[in-house]
Amino acid sequence: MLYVVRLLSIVFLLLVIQSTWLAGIRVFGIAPDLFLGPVFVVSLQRGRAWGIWFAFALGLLLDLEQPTRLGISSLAYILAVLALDRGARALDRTSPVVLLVLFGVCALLSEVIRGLWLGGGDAVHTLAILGRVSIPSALYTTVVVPAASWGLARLTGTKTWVLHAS
Amino acid sequence: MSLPGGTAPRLRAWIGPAVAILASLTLLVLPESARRAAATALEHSVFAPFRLAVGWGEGSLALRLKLHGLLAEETEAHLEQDRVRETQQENERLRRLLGFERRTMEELVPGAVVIRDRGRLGDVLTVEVPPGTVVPNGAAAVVPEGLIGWATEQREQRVRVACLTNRDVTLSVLDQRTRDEGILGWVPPAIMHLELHDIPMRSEWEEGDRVITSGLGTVFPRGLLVGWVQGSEIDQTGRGKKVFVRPAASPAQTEELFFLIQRPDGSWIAQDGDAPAEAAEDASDLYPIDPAMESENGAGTSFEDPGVLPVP
Repeated sequence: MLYVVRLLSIVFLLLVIQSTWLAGIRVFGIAPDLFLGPVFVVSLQRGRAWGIWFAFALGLLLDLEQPTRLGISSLAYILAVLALDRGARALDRTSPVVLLVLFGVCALLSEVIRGLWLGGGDAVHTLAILGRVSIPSALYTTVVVPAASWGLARLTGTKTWVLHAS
Repeated sequence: MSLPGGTAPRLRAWIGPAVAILASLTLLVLPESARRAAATALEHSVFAPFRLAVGWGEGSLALRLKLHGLLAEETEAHLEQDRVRETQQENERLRRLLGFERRTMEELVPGAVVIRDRGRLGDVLTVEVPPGTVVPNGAAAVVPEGLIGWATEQREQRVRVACLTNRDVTLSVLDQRTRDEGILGWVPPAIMHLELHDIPMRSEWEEGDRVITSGLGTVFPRGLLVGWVQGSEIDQTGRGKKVFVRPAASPAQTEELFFLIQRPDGSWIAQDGDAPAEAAEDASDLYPIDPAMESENGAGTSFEDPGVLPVP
């Protein structure tokens, strides 16, 4: 129960950050996807089933901002969780480098799915979105979220970084 | 029918992900109206408490951030104001030292455009000026780009400005390069297009020449930028030509403007007070003027204040 409350608090904080401070760290219109962090952590700590339903609910919550895209964030996060599940089984999930790579793959996958949806079947448009938005966003997310996680761990004095899951 | 050992648990493990993926895909393939309806339903049911909490948090934080930003802007504006004041004082000190006298006697009165009207007779702006300000009829209205028109009527804080693209406005202008003069006016229904009529054939108004006010008459001071020559053609009589001028300032893009209000002649720039003679004496006490320089310059070197008017 405490875990759920903590999780909801983190999501609440991230939503507030997204609508207030996130604009300040945009680079050429590209913003990091902060919500991939909680999805990643939940999937690693609680397993695939938890991760998938958490990803589904969080995706729906995010898509409420733009109802025309309802479902796309859920799908992107769910597929990212599935990829993470496959990767975490095969690799050493305690290694920070492995986690970083897995996180990068998840970020790329979720952004590419969003990009494909936004492209709407037009190949040129889709390629442009992937090149201009999706890939830079994934890279930015891969840098910002782990860095924030590491910083948070240092601030709170925990031994391992927040993304770490034993 | 039974499944081989281990297959059933594996399939069961995929039920959750499959349902979640199917649900997401279903939402994606719904018509847009249904998606909107589903989002509204979710927002007001499952996610209602969360959305309310986040909205409150966002609201208070956003307000604080905005307040912080506004305070920073205010501080920056104060600093900028101080810098401008400092520069102004330094300029005035130097002018006193040199014994310069103001040639342009206009005082600037700011105004904000509140109504734009494009009537049959041309463009008219209604401008709001600070309370207690009196803008005499005929006061020139300028913007950073140049002359925009003149004041024709004031009712309390509202001043009506007839723009250059108005039939009521005609003005004496000259070509800054050749000093050829002419009377400029607007001929409807031209848009951003003024005309000079009865221009002698031999006068040289070339495309791109700057057109400025000539200072003749009592309305507009000399040297205000009016526009640029666009071209010319021989008029119907064949004895003269018409010159077309593109105005520098556009009424459609004007948000704020300044009225140039005449001040009494002989006022010294060194003092904003109402006693120019005293100001001059004070200035000469503080900064003795070299007699040789004074005699060379006469009563003082005349100049046009570049900060006041859009001097060509």
